[in-house]
Amino acid sequence: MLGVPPGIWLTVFFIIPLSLIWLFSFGDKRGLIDIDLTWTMANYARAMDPLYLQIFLKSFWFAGITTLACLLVAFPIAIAITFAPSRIRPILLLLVILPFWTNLLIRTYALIAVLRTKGYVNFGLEYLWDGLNAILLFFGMDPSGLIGERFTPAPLLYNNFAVVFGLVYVHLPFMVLPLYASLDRMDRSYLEASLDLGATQFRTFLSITVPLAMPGIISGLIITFIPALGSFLTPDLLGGTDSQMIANVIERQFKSANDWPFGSALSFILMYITFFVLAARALFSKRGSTMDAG
Amino acid sequence: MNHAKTVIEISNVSKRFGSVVAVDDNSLTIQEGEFFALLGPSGCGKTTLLRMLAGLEVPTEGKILIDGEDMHGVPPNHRPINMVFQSYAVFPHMTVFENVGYGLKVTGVPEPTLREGVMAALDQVQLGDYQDRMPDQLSGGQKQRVALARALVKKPKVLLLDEPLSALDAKLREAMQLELVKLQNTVGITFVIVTHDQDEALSMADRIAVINEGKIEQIAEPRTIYEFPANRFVADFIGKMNVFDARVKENGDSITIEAPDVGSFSVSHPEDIEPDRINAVAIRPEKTRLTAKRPDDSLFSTEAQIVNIAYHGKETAIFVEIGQGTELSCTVPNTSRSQHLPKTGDTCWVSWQVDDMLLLE
Repeated sequence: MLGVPPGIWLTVFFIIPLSLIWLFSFGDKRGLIDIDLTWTMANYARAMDPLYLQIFLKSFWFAGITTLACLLVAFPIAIAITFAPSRIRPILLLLVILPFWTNLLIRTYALIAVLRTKGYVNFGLEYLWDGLNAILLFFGMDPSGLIGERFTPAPLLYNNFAVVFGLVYVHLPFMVLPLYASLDRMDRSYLEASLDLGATQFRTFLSITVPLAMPGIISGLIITFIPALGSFLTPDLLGGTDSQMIANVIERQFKSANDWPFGSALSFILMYITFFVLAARALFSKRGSTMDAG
Repeated sequence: MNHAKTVIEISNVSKRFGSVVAVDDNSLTIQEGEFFALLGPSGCGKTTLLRMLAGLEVPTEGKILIDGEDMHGVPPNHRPINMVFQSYAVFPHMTVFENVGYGLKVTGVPEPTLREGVMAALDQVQLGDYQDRMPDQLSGGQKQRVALARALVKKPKVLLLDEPLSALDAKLREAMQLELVKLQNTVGITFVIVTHDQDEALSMADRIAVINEGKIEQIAEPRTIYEFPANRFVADFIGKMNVFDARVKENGDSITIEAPDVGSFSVSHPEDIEPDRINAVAIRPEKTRLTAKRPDDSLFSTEAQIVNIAYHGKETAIFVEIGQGTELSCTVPNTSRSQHLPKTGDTCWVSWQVDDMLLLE
């Protein structure tokens, strides 16, 4: 078994299935399970329908916001881990990786328990509301005008907010780890030299830390953006009717709609977009290095 | 040189990292315009002391005054001090010009003044034509000049240099030593250099502090450090030294030194010495002489057998055995091509002036 060349494994488990899907995307649906390979472009043409383009756009939008939010949240975390005492650094890293040890489905259901109308967040908010209410009453003020007569739970679940929140939660480690890797590699004397030359901590962060961590930032952006773009479970479980992403549409083509050719076409469009993002990254890093040399 | 004004005053400074004592209760003053070296083996705490001056480490105890001001709680970016890092820390994503200008830019110096300052600093380190280069196009020596210019452009009261020459090859190192001294004379800024290289410290510094295990062993001018080391550590660390256990007896105006492995000597009583505390005598290899015949009585002499010879080009190190198995190292300068060199196994006389011997605690 182990003597089989890796090329065979790659062919059997990767290239052949992918080629099949690629062929399906040029096929015509005949009956329940039959697909005729007619080299039609109709599936791709259908994907250009504004309905689907809009979902593509929405997927980009969600993935983009998720990636940006991940970057903003992950940077302080990565810095904190880098500068933590070496004894507790492995523990902090473990905490970042720990979610990977739990099934995504279970983690998503846990998020539902946190965000739903009678979830932990709303419990917390209600507790605060009660407290505020009591204080206002104590001072003889009428709370109904200020904070409402009754506590109304915040609608946190089954909407776009829940999807982005869930995506950030799921993808945060993908951003923290490459950032940490590049910060940890960074020679501390660059930061010390900057402080020594009169720069404030904030200025040092902007002028030295961020540019030197750029490879990590770009890696983090890409490996967060790509899986976020193809997310299926999170929008499916946390989203409302208008927050489905492209992967949900693809899933439906393969299952309930039973339109494999169209699902295949959508899959490949998503894949081409991913390749395009990676190519843009390669171009960016090449330009970056020629800029260094110039 | 004008040694009128104290620019750095370190009093009873200690630094502990957990249970490790890196710097142990040291006091030291450095004068304005001085070229001062902190010299010691690696891990002796000299870099920690330097980093405390820069504000990159906070002393556990003690006080540091720079230009008369207490530096307690003053962050590195508010100290009138700049540092050249051992790794140079030249920012890899900035050109030479941007690197040198960084310290001015972040403090809001306007563009024309900045350009003028940067170009003057680059000229000072002879990198005037390199302003648009990126650091990865520079050699180690050029990067160091950039780091130097970047610190000098800030016109600091004190320039700190952490092992500045350790990454350079021998030839360049020697050239840079001279250049640093010249530069220091031109700019008139106080230089404090950390080094483990005694040649570097001896040749460049006005004064040297020899540090061992976090404690300053001796502060003096290079020649004093070499010729009159304060104790056994300094004697052993600086240059080569033959050290022998010895005891000293007082007889009125003179003292008698008894070194069981070598012999006994009588010398006039030095003023600044407590005979009870002396436990060793020492003689530098180059202060000994090797002769075929017994020299006259003004020198101390003893018969010796040559056990090993190491030729170093400009000099030859000859190891001889005196008495029962006591080895002594002698250095003979190779002053002439026709000079006769002894061979292993030869017997000869080794001699030195008793005054050249050191009494060590």
